[in-house]
Amino acid sequence: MDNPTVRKYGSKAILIEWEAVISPEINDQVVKTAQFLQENHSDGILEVVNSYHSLLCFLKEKADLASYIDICRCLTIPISELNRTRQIWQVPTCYDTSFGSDLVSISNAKQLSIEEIVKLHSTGIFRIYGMGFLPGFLYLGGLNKQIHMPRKQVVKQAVPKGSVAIGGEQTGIYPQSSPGGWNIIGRTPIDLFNAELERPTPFSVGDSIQFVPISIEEYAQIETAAKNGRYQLKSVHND
Amino acid sequence: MIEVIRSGLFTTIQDLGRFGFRSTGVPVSGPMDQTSAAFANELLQNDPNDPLIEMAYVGATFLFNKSATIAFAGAICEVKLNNEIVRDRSVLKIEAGSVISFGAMKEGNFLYLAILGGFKTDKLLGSACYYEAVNGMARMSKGMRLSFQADHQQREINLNRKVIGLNRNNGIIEVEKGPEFHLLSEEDAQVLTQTQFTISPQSNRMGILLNELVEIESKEIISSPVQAGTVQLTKGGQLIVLMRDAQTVGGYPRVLQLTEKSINQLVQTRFNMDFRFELARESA
Repeated sequence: MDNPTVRKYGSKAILIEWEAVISPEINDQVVKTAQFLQENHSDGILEVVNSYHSLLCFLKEKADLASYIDICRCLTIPISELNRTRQIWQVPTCYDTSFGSDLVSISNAKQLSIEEIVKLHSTGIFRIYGMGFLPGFLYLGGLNKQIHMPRKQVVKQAVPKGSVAIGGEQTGIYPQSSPGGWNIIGRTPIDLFNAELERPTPFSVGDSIQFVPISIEEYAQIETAAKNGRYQLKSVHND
Repeated sequence: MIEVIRSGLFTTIQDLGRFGFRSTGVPVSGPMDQTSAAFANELLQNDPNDPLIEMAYVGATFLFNKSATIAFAGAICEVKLNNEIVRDRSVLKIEAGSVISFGAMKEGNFLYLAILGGFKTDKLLGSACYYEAVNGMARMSKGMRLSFQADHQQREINLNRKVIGLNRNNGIIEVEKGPEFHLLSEEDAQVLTQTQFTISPQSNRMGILLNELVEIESKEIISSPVQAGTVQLTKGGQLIVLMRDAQTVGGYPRVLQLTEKSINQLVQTRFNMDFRFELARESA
């Protein structure tokens, strides 16, 4: 793999970019480099944003930009740093048509039964390549080609919070109620983002998620448990 | 306590910003014009991170139910204290029961109102900045109440400070090359730096939209980190300058990057004033 390019971007930030390809190997490099920088250079680094094939490293006011550019250009990450247990988060999702308001139209467009769509969606393992757009929004890769579905022509003014949707080649979850043009196939009762918590999201770039089908009854139970702080999102190690 | 009598067009609380959560998609926020906001706090010898009020385009009206010392800086508008016009002063002692009103901005767009000791508001994720997805607050509304520290801090405040003019851009906004600048042809780059641009009224705290479309082909990029001051080239040839509440990751080419100074100048640029981008020397 080629060395990344390192350059100044903005008054107090450094952009590190690998080859512009969506691949788990490149995203791994991004995640590991971000982690290494934060663990070893926290005196000068304020925070790091990583996504697909690049990371942006914001420096503290007192840090010298030129010296940090040198540090980033000469990074050698020990092999031991490259191993970290990745999680596969099990996101409970109710695919009932009362939540998945576009399941019928996808079913018609793709000549697939709703059961087949749910199966294709819930058997996938989706890597988190980045986080952004909205607080807690996950950029997920790995959607089965059979259920790629173009975004809708008309943007819906308020897609409910927790909606699970398909937009083109991507799938995602709306962390808050917001306008959106993706095709809605279900809803999760869990919070993807909670500003009251010290760690507002349980997910990290490099983790994966899996959508686990639940019934309307289970949806209601989990929703109540989550509201009372009694729901623990499950995960399995991805070794 | 002060009460919001008229909310203005888009009035918010801001401090220096919400740091440490950009990796989860939370923008930094903070004052659109950081220079003016810092100045308002400085007039009162406040901490630079003390929460203050930002008013946009049309100012708000507030009723004070206890005495306070306030300072304002940034955009220029008509300011009235108990219906009397306030001239040439930017620090005021306010008696309990007074009403202060800020009119439509005449020069600049964003005005900052600081209070001695800062406004006392709940902080979420380390900041008091309004941002709906974090603290449920988009902007102030009529009838809202804000608390502040009682005015018994003994500070020697100069009450005769005059209103200081805005830092104007003289028609030039200084920029550096953005990460995708190198994808532009020489002609495209010239279009970017020679076009006279104006700001669209559709602009907000997330982004400033420019009216003039450029004939430059824009290819989507793999979603990559962005920041305030990034100029995105969208598919229709419209340019968006990302602002304080912008998303943290974006999929449009990042063709230019404003300097900190030029962000503060651009946000105060009126809709009818045109400007062009000029590459900073070290970047050219």
